[in-house]
Amino acid sequence: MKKVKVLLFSFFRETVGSDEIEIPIEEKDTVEDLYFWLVKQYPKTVFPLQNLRFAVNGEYVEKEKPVNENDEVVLVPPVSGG
Amino acid sequence: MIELTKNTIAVDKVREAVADPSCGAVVLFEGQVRNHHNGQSVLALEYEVYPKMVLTVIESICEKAKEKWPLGKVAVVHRYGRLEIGEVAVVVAVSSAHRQEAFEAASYVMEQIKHEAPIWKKEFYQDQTSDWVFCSHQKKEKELAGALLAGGHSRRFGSNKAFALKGDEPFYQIGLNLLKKSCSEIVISSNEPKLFEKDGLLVVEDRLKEKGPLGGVYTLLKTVTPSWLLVLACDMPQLTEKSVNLLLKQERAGKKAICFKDEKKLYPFPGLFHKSLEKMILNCISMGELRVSNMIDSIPEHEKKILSVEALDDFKTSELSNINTRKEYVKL
Repeated sequence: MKKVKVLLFSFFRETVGSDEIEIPIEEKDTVEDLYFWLVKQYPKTVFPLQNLRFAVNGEYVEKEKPVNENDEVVLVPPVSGG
Repeated sequence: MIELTKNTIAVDKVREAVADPSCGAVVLFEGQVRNHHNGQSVLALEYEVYPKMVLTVIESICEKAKEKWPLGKVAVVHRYGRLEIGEVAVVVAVSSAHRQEAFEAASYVMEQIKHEAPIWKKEFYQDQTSDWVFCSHQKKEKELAGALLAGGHSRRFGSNKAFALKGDEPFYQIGLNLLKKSCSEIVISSNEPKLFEKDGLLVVEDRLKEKGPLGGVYTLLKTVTPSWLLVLACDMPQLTEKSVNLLLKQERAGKKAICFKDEKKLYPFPGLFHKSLEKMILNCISMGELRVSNMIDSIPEHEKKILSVEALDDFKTSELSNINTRKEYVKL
């Protein structure tokens, strides 16, 4: 089973209790699918999808972006810098 | 200078970093930790950042600012970790020849950091609770930029169509007025930027010379920050707000382009274009395809929404017609 590394920050890090998680992926899985997997495992991570963004290898991507085994994925809850 | 730090920000150093002998203005913004938020008493803050991405995001925001305004230097320093009330959390410094650009650019850089940089803020309250702050900013019409294509040669018309008058208003102004109603950011595509300079508008020249409207759309998508771009052509003075709103009302999720068609043809403008079309447009251009409508044709059906004007009540197709010749102009 292929896996992908997902970094967790802010709300996701605290809810899961870890700053990193490995999520199994199948062919054609998108970054959004990773979020759905997470919610299944950790129901408290549920979050309004339209307020969530995704980053792959340090860049924001669309939620339809397919994931690859060596990607570094970040689930980005609304940011609040400044 | 673009930095993250765990320690107190040396504000003087940030100011020094933008010093430039050609600049007469320096705007320095300091964001400091406030003791209240939404009616709650705040004791302290904690910022968490995604180190790998945050600096590149802020760098690209600063680069964008330099494209939008003639600036000297831009510097940003942001704190992370725990901060107490009154501490400086972020400093933005901008220098430019004249003050207006520096004020506008500093404000822009700060806004963009708030919306784009992967930084998360946790507030600790007096009642021992704490919470992540989720700014309610994303996905509003902030996600919409507006653009006016005014780069044509007006060969058949004989003079620059953008400045032809309808009533006492130039064509381009009619387009701008429509864009201003819904777009957070407005750009004009023209190969004669000087013509628009007096109005303090953001004008971009085509990155790809002589590549027609498609080259114009490409440049515009490259220029704007929001993910959606509403494009109007300057030679459509009969277009109304109602029709533009019709496009804006369509569900955009999963789509890349939204525009009108009638039984004869597709009208790329007014049209909504998603930023992700950049690559596809570049491909079209490299294959010698310069027509926007053909580019839209090649987008898969499920990724576009084409509104058929015949199906719309009380829609005048004349709204979509371009004024190309003097003859069409006098008929207006």
